[in-house]
Amino acid sequence: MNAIRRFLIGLAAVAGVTLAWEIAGRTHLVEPLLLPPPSEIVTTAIDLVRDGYRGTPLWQHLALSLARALGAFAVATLIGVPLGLAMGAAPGFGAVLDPFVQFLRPLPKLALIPLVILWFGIGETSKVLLIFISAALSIIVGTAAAVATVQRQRIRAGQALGAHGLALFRYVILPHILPELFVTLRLSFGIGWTTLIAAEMIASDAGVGWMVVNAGSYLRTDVVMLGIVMLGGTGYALDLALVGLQRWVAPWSGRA
Amino acid sequence: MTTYIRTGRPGRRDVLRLGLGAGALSLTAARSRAQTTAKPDVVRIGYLTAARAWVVGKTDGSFDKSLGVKVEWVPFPSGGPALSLLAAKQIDFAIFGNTPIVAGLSRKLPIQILGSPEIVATSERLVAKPGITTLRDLEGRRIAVAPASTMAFALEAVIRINKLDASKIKRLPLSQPDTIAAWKRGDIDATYINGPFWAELLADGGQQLLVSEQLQPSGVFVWNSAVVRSEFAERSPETVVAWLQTVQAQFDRYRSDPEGVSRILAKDFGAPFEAVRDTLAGLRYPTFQDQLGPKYWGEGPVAAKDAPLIKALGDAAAFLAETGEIKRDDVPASFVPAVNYALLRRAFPS
Repeated sequence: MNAIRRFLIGLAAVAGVTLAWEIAGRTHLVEPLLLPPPSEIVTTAIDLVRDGYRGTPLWQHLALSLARALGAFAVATLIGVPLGLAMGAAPGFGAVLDPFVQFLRPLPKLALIPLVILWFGIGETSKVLLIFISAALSIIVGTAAAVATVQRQRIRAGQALGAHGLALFRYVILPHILPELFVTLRLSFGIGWTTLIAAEMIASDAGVGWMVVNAGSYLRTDVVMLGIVMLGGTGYALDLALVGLQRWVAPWSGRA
Repeated sequence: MTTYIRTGRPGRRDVLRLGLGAGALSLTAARSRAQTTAKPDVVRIGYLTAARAWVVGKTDGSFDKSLGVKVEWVPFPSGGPALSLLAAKQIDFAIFGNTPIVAGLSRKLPIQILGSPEIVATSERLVAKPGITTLRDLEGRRIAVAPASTMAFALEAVIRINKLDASKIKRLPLSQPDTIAAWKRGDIDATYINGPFWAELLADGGQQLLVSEQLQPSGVFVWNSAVVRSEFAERSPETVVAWLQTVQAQFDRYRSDPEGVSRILAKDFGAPFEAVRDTLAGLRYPTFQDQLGPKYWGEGPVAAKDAPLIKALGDAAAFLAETGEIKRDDVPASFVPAVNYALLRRAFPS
């Protein structure tokens, strides 16, 4: 199936679901309070673009959430990848860190909120930190696992051909792990993005995650759905961007 | 790890399953239509996860007895989730704050108000750090308040009534336990907070600037209303009457023995006895008879137009519309139809 065909089928599926959803709302098959039809969400979107939500323009909510998530993700990548590489390359070091990483990784980040507030206050640091923690831990584990899959023969072959240290890493290990690293980054970004709601529950008055939670407590299901569409759409777009980056940086992905 | 992915077209079995599902759905619909006059199989009562006097009836089965059906108790942490539970038809009755109730009514949530058995008096307080002694001192400070709460509404009223510069006061939405942490760290200068939380802040040297009761002369009322799902009230009015009378009986019991009821609730909620006792003492409990008078809801729908609490509902709606929480066009023209005077009168004849 070629790419255009796939895209068209996907588009038709989305259009079909949206149409069915609209009809269900119009005919009161589904209570609009429980699931507002797409047309109401569009109206709400127009209102919020014009007037903002709770005194903040809609684009600023999105920009703020993006800044928090991308900032946290960037730091998580800068710290997580080297740490994961070190853990994968030096089994002793990995064994030291592993219990801590494995303990923290599956922990629901909501449980950390009280401690994060006590230790880091209610400012931006706490919000970014929460996203950072969830993204960084998955990056560490994924990177370490990727390094562990490099076959010993390849490393020996590289060494036999005179590659050591940085050269070995650059020409043998990196090309092998890059595709897997990108998968890890994509998954970790998704995990970080889902932590946005938890992060923006800490003393926020702006951000898409906050908007969803706040609107929910006033039963503004139209704003909740709009926020969900924004979160989902942005997450999807950023994932596509990472895939694009992967094609550019590691074009051999999936052809090894 | 292996994952088996089923591919291909939906088999005959899937189609059959779909048909069965649809059939079951239409069956359920038919059953609910046939039950129009029958007694409910089960009554689900929503309650706040903070000690409230009437919830003492949960511990000894009073509601099961007087309603004559199985009663399920569904906890919710605040008014927002209570609205969701009502919208999803997961609870039939609840008692919670007037601000979220106004939000729900504006969203056309099919619920009816059944009086206001709990009026906030001293249970919600504005407490500030030492050195902040007047309301004017709050300008240029950070005040924490639980989002979408009656306290958030009261704080805005304080700012408006005292003509403080709203743009100079930073309001931080924080849950109440988190507020305590932020206070200890010095991240906030003041908070509008519920009992028992303020006790800790006052012990820590906090200054009490105001209690919600002091806003009443300015027409600002904060209270908890009893609500019922409209569909439930139409189908089982007798159950609503019995429920209201049982609620009143619990408040009567509290009035005659506040210490005893506080002790039972402290045990049930796992909270310190003193905290429960002081929190409960911070609310006023007008009887339903009293509520159906000129001081609260008016005697009936005709006299209700100028009733203080009907007016207060309108004010709360105007406030929520102004802050952008609800759409201005969604606010009902009058809140009188939202109050079920008929059932209140049936439960408590004059």
